[in-house]
Amino acid sequence: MVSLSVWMVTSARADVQPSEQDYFQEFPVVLSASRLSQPLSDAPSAVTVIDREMIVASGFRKIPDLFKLVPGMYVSYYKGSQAIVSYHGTQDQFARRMQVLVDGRSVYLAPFSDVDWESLPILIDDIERIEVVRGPSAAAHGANSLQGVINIITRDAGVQSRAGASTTRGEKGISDVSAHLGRIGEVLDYRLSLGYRSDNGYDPRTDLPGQDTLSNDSYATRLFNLRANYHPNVADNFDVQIGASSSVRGVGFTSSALNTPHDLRATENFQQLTWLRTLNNRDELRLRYYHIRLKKEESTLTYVGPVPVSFTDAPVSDRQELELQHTAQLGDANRMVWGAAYRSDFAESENYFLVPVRQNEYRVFAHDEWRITPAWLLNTGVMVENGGLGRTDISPQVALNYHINPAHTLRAGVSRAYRNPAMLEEKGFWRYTLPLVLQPPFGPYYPILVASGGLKPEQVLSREVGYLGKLPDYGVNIDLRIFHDQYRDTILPTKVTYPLLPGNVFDLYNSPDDMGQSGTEASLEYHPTEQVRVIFNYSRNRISTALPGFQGNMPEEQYGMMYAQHIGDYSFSLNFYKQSAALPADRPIWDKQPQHQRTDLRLAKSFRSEGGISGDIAFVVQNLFDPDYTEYLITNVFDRRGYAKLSVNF
Amino acid sequence: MRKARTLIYLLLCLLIPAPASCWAENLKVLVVLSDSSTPYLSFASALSKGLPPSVQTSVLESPERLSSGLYQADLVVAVGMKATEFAASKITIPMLSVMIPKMGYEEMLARVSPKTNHRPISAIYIDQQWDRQIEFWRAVFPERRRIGLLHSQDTNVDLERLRKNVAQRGGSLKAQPVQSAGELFSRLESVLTNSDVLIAIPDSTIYNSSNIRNILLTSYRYGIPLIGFSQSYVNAGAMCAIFSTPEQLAEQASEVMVSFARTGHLSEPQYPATYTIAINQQVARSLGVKLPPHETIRERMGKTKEGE
Repeated sequence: MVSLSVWMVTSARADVQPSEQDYFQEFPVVLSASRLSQPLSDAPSAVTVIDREMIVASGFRKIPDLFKLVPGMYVSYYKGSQAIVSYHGTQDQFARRMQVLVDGRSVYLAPFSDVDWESLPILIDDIERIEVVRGPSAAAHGANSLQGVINIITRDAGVQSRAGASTTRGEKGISDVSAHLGRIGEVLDYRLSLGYRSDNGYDPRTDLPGQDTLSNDSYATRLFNLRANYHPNVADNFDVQIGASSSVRGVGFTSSALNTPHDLRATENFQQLTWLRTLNNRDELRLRYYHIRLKKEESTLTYVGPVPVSFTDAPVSDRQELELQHTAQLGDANRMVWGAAYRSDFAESENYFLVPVRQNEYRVFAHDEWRITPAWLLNTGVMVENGGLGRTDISPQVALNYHINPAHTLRAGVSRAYRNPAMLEEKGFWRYTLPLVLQPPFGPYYPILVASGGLKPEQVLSREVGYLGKLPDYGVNIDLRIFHDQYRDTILPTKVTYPLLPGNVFDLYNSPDDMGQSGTEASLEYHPTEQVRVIFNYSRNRISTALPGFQGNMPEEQYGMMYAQHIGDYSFSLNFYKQSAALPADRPIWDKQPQHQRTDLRLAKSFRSEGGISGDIAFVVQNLFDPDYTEYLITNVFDRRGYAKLSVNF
Repeated sequence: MRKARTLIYLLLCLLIPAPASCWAENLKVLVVLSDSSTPYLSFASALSKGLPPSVQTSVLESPERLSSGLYQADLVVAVGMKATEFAASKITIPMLSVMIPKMGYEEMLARVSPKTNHRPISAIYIDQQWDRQIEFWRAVFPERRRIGLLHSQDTNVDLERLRKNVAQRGGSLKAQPVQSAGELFSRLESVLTNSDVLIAIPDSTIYNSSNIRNILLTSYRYGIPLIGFSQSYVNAGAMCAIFSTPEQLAEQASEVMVSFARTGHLSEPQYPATYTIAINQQVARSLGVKLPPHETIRERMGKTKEGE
């Protein structure tokens, strides 16, 4: 309400006469150093930017799918609501080796080293752009940026002063609704988004005896987020974000004895406050605090003979972080970013941990961008972290960029990064408490995993050379990268037998075997006119390792293509994805995914009425041609599905 | 340089047998500021430093205290619109109005009664002539031919003339009227999709501190540079700006005053003689725009009058 009245006051002073005040008006620093994106040709790593136009043209409803637009990225779903997003493979049903940030907030949570994509309280329409750093980038993006970094940047408060709503209806239970509201004021801007998203997940499969006939993975998620920006004067800027989500998801399998079909109820909330102060118009001090809490409640019921056995759990992941960062322009040719952060992670679960676990991490980091000459640019960075496990790790990064001329840039870089073991991997005691009548003689527990601890973090040494071509006369952008990554101390499960305990129990250890990954990634964008945009992606990744399951875990070759065209009020886009065969690390041979391809189509018409109402109606068909297309599990059939989306802005 | 020239004028005045019009002996100037904020104070201090000792100035920081007949001055220098309005209505001595928009000056002239108008009166504007702004655009962005512009009903810009000027220099103008605050965003998007550069104009209905975030963030998203008209624009995130500082205007004012002291005549109202160019290199880099160095821009603009 405050900003609404400010707005009305502002627009009421319309009878202005010419005054010199326009020339002396002080403005807040809007495009501050931390808001500006580094030009790709100056970046120390290969970066893929997914912009709004691509997000819209992709036709995707769910955020994880967007990463299909990035070369070298593997996107799949273990369940309709459990996304797996990993760069360069090594995933099982969790992808553990990539950092994911939303407006600087790390949503890669420590207890299980995973990202719960479905719980993120943001809508796909809230995203301004996504920067995907292909390669380790700990110095710039913090701990656990092992294989790469996904950096989601949401729309600023203060970009839209209006309201809107959208509704999506389609096959396979697709039913989404969203509403948003934004107000811009003299000193306070805000935007609010509300959303509901649901579908029936994967299709059932009836032709495989012994496998699940019905995929229990429909889900419905409700969420909201609020972002407010308070800028009381020209130097200070306070960005406040809060959000929450609640989802009910079908999980479990009809063929499983313990993990029977049931509902999982996930709730997440976060609060984030960023204070940005501009110093002498170019340096910047940033203080950021955030808190995330994720809780997943589930309860299964199964029968052991006639005895009903119920397992209930509500694991909680809770994180708080405080980070201070200073950006200093040291002369015209040198810019330095340095800072420190403290993070505290907390986990609590009846089945996964014996007692609540807390882990505190400290880190200091510095990153320097030095333009040695107009042609040579040297990026150096380092992060020193104490991950709370009694050791200090140093993650350095060096990259040298050579601008042959404004159109062509060569880059060579080397970096090291670490992934701390998940709290479950280091301190887990995963067991189920059995009812009295079924209790074995050694105690009430049926153990699954007993972590003996003492794990070292995983590490990677990454070397790469890259080429970036920007040929505006031809509307062409090229991004090439050749890399070799050497992984050490990979954390793997192993079966151990304890006296008295039935069967095998899992523990984790650092494998003595290295893993090497070498490959090529290429991205070509052709933008001949404002109306036409074509993107080709190609990646090839060879994994050589003795680590069990990791060879062949990632499709060796992947292709992607986007063709998008506007004709008047109409937009048309065609998306094609193809990947070679792969077998997920934790799956039996029958889940091997053959080479497959997928074609998505989007057609939209925009409209604008005299009364200021605008919007568009879009029709999307996903997987046009391949009825046998499956993802991750052979029972995850993703058949052709279409939906329509109507968006209106007032 | 200036001081030397001023000195020569003064010497000439002293040496040549004084005609009636040479008042150089003791020019008393009343400088009236619109208020005591930084731009006006900077002007006053730069002015007092740049004037020869024979010109005596007294500075009044609040025009409300101005009353007729109290001042034994030969010339009033009114700094800003507010000071100009007060000086125009309260006192009748010759007036030089500075740091005001051309449009404001002309409206003021039309408003004040002809009685008080019977005196030497002139101005140094704060706005750059459109020709110079067009030269600036051509010098900075020779490749970006399509200029986008937002205007409201309060805008005092002759769009048709501007369109012609832009076309003569090989460009095209895409102007969008903004009728209400609510439609700013859609108009902005429409302009940005059809232009290569957005040019800001002094129109506080559009360019005010509540809208500037929206305008800068959106144009940044579209990869379209904004050309501003003050340092503040460049600090906020505009890619470049052309403007004249209070110091530059003070220097020009002192020349007019010395000439007045010599001749008793005020020169015609004029645009700023010197200007400053500001560039936000970080924004340019981030948008992948290669900007020419300052010297090249000035060279291309064909004017070598140095600012700063």
